[in-house]
Amino acid sequence: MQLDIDGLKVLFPYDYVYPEQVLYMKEVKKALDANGHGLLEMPSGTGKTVSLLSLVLAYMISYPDRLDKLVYCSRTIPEIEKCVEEMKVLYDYWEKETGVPVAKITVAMSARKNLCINEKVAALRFGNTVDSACQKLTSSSVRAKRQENAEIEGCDFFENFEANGFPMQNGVWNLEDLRQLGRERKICPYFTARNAINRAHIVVYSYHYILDPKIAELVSKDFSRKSVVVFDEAHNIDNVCIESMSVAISQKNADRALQELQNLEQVVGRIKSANSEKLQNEYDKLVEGLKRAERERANDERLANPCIPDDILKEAVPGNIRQANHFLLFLKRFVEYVRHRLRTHQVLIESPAAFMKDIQERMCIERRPMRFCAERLANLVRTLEITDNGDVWALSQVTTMCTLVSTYSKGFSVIVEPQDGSQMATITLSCHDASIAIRPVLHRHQSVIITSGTLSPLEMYPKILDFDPAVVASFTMTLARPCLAPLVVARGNDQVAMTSRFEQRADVAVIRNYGNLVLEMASLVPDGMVVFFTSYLYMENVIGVWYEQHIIDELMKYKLLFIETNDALETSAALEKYVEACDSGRGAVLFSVARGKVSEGIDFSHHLGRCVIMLGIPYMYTESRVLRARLEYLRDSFGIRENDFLTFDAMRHTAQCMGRALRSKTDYGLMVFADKRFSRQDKRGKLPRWMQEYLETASTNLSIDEAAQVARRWLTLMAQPFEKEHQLGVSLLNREMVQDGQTMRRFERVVEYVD
Amino acid sequence: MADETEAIVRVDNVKYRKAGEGKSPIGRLILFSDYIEWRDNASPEVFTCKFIRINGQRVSPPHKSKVQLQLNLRNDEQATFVFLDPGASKEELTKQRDNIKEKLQAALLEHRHRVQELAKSVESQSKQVELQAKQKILQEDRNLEKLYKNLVATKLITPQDFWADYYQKEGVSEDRIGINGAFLANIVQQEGTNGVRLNLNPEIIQAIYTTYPAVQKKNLELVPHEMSEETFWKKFFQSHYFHREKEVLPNPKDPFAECVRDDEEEMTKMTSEKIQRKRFDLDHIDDNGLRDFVHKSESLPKTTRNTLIKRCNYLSEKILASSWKTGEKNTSGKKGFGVLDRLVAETEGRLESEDLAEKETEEEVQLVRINSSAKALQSVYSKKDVAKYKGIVADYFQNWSVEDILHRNEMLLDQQEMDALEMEEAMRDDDDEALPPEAWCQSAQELGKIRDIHSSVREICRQFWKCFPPVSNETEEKLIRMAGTLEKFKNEITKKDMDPANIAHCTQMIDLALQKFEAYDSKKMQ
Repeated sequence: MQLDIDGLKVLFPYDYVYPEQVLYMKEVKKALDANGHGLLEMPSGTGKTVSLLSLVLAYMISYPDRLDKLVYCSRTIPEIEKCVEEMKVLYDYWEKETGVPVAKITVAMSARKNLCINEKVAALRFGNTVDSACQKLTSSSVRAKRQENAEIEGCDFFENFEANGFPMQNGVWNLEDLRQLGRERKICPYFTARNAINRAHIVVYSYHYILDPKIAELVSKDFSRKSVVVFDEAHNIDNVCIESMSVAISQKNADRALQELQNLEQVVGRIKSANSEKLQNEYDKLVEGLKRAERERANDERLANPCIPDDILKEAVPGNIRQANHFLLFLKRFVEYVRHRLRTHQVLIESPAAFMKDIQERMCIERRPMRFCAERLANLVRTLEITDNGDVWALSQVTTMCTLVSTYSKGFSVIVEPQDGSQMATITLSCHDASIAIRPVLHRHQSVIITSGTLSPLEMYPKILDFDPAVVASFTMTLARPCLAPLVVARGNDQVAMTSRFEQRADVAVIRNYGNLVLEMASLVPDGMVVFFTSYLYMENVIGVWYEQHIIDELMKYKLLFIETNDALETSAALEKYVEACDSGRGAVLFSVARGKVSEGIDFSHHLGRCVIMLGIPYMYTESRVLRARLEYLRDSFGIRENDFLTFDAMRHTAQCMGRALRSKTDYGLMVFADKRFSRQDKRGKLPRWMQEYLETASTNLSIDEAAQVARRWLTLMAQPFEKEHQLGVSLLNREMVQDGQTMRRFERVVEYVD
Repeated sequence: MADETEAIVRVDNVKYRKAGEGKSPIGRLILFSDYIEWRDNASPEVFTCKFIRINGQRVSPPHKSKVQLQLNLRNDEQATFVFLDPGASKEELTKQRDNIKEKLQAALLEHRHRVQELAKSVESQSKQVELQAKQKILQEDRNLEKLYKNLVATKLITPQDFWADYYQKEGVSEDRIGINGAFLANIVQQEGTNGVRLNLNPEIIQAIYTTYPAVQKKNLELVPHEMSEETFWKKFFQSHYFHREKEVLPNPKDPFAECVRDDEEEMTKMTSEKIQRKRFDLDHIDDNGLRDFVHKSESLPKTTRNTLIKRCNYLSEKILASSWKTGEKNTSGKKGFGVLDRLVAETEGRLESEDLAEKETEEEVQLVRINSSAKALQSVYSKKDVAKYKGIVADYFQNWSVEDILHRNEMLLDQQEMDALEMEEAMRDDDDEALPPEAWCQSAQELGKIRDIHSSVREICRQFWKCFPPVSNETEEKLIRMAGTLEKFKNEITKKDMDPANIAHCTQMIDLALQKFEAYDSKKMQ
């Protein structure tokens, strides 16, 4: 269908369009026109991705001089692949409509583990093992050695790629297409993709390739200014930013760093006696300040400097760490200092400045050499031809911390926690300011669109990311039938209030009521049902109590039970069985944890999740020192009150969990908020608009029985056949309707702007 | 006794301790598949013990100086063997002993299993059930009964051939009932005088067995040789299977303690299996390469709660797995999704905007698939035949609505069969429209006879044509048999005192079939 979005001809690859999609495209266009940033909340399952892609592609084709690149960032591999598949559909449609193929390159990019086709390497399955196995075969030093000794194993795919290169052609290259291409041409798909993303017009990859300075510097630094960067599923973007700038070093890792340091010393000693020339060479280069004189080989990727590029001094590495052995001594002093700090018996939180002062006084370590630490280590490792990053892993953590703590005085704090039971002593350099990591992205690219199904309350994001968006809008969902049913269950049948408040959550009556709620729902909801707990610890306790109260046994009468655990492998297995149970019609319940891996990345569409229950409000663990420090910083720097932030965070995670069940307009799901605090407007009001609108006032304070009643009625309603005709004109538009101003006016209130 | 080559294990230097007598002789212990034997080295003395006599076995505790194995026999006697290979250390001896113990245990289990199976098959009533069912079918369908009498009773067609088409073993393999998720919770509990009484029934026991095969194994091993059925189940209800939160310590008295180890092994195996649905593989979906570096060293202490959670998952997984067990093993790979490793293929159908795409208009017409056998048949027809059959088919399709065609007994409409049908129809038409039977100079009785003949011919022809193409030996044999039957039948009906006009198309049908058979035969000869 051809759409006219404020004067721009957009080809939309389907015959029908949701009204939200039309409005969404309008907002995206506004942001692009203004060369500004956008913050857009649109419910999941309303076709965000395809509308975004359609609009941006049309924009790029119509105004090639204003926009020449789309960088689409998503969180998980399935989301990335799905996005690229949508792009394929769009390409096909363009070709069909215009008669000429789209002259743009779309390429997906992912870690080696997803792209490698060297069977031996790919069989290792886990990210880090694949990476280091690959580096062992492809790093330049190994390859140089192979020149002399042909017996050293190499990777043919990589060699072919190096020898012939591969100019990426126009078209869409999904991960599987890249692998296929690699197999056909016998070239390495990973490096092909790495190479292609600079030239490609549309790049789809995950967040950290652009947000984490250590990687962004290697992968994404050459992107043009005229690009639009899209962060999809971005409700957690601040945490990603913070994570990428924070380092934690435990006692064990500090010891390991020391070990690695000793190994390095040995290597340096050996080389010194055998081949001192090499070290001299390195020294000379450092003196000249030609830190990157040689073209850095893409495959030799060490982690780049953890700081934001603008903050890096443009000067030569200071003299006292130029010599390899001097540098190692320097590092040793630093590691010893870290170890010394870890031996403390009290918790200490200090600013980077205080940390620097202390280290200066005790160890006579100055700020300047510290700032070069990470880079100097990367240099040394390259000189020493160490191919396995795992060999210097702990050490690189230490140097990362060293560089960060000396570079930033604001927005960070150093937290030292002594050993406490099974908890190891840890020193954490914690970043509190999400804006530090995202700032270069916002500055370098003309438009950044942050979008997700759950971004409420929208006004929080510009504050914590410190940017000024041109467009801030929230969309609701137009529905032909009420396919989401949010219910707030506030009390049990015995009128005891249900809440996960700290003081009450251990109460047997509360836990029993939670159990009754789950039982009641399990008895009436078909197929799959997901129950979220506020934390893993709480889940364990509750399951223990439920087991004693025979609630677990009762539950098994209705559905099979699967439970998320701490272990990713175990959880994956349980998840798969859960899906199998749902697919086979047996029905199952999944116990999961808000903020856990399941709540973030797994979609429970259709029969996999007919009901989601949130037991309590998933507040962060407020006793955490890292969190305390961050809250303090947010209060002092951005004027965000502690409670506001905590509630904001809890509610966005609640919304996230709830949203797992509803993945399209034809889907339907019951959403049960089981905490009396959800009845209050200050909590409820922070849910996404599209959820709030379907939350009736009558169902904001229900007992278990009342909720069951409502659910029963609603489920029978949902079980009726649902056809396209029902949606047409209400939540689905054809071409005539889109062009008809009268019809479109009906949807005016779908968008709501936030100032 | 038997040839020693059949032995499972042989151990030399084993002393057989006898009560009372002085010095015990040394000999060789040999394990066979259904008995165990000990031969004296010096004298021709032989001790044999059939498995049926063995209740169980015991071994000497590790701290004892002697390494012994004791067999508990049915008649409360015991046979004790001491392992004393002079060239071996105590560890090696223990190893020898444990080896023989394990092998014996396995052999014993197998033996008991066999015995049980045997017993079961004897009392199985499946045959009778089948017979009853067949009788019922015949009673309900008079035509079929007649056919049966005409064909099977006269031995024209074997009963197997006949029933292959009309009797399906229903519900035996297909409709296996899954296990109730709460079979453990459903066990009826009664407050007894001293605690709780739990009532088991065969269904629950079966459910327990299918869910936890280890329990069945233990049951075979222990009951009734070492403990009674009752104590076994008592122990079961005290075990971790029933109390999933319980931490189990190795305890020689608790038969289920060792099961824990096996179960845990299976749990780890389950988790280490590759996830088929990539969309749900947490390791796969995460694309942050750096996070992988966080080493998985700090394994959390195993808490009881953790165990409970694991066991809950395990129970559900086992229950779920039990519903796949028959035939196809539970690899979700076989069920469509996993085969297409390409994740997108799975998601494709669920693309965000799927419901925006126009639904394909459903085809009004049902496609008729012409199967390869029909093509193969055609190749041997002469041109004339082809033309003729074509005419018949075309006519058939013109005059009959789709429903009529589809509602014919078999969907696979072969030209030949259609031919037969067509003729039959014609015949019926004749019957109906023609003058009353009296005018035909035939009694109602005679008419009935003709009907019988027709339906018999039809049935035999059907059986005959069904054998094409004869891909396996079985079908080939049947084909030859049917051809013979046809010939015989033809002779029979021609001999009967009947107006040839009335059975003309019967003979025609038979001739057609025989022609076909000849063509096939000559082709095969080549």
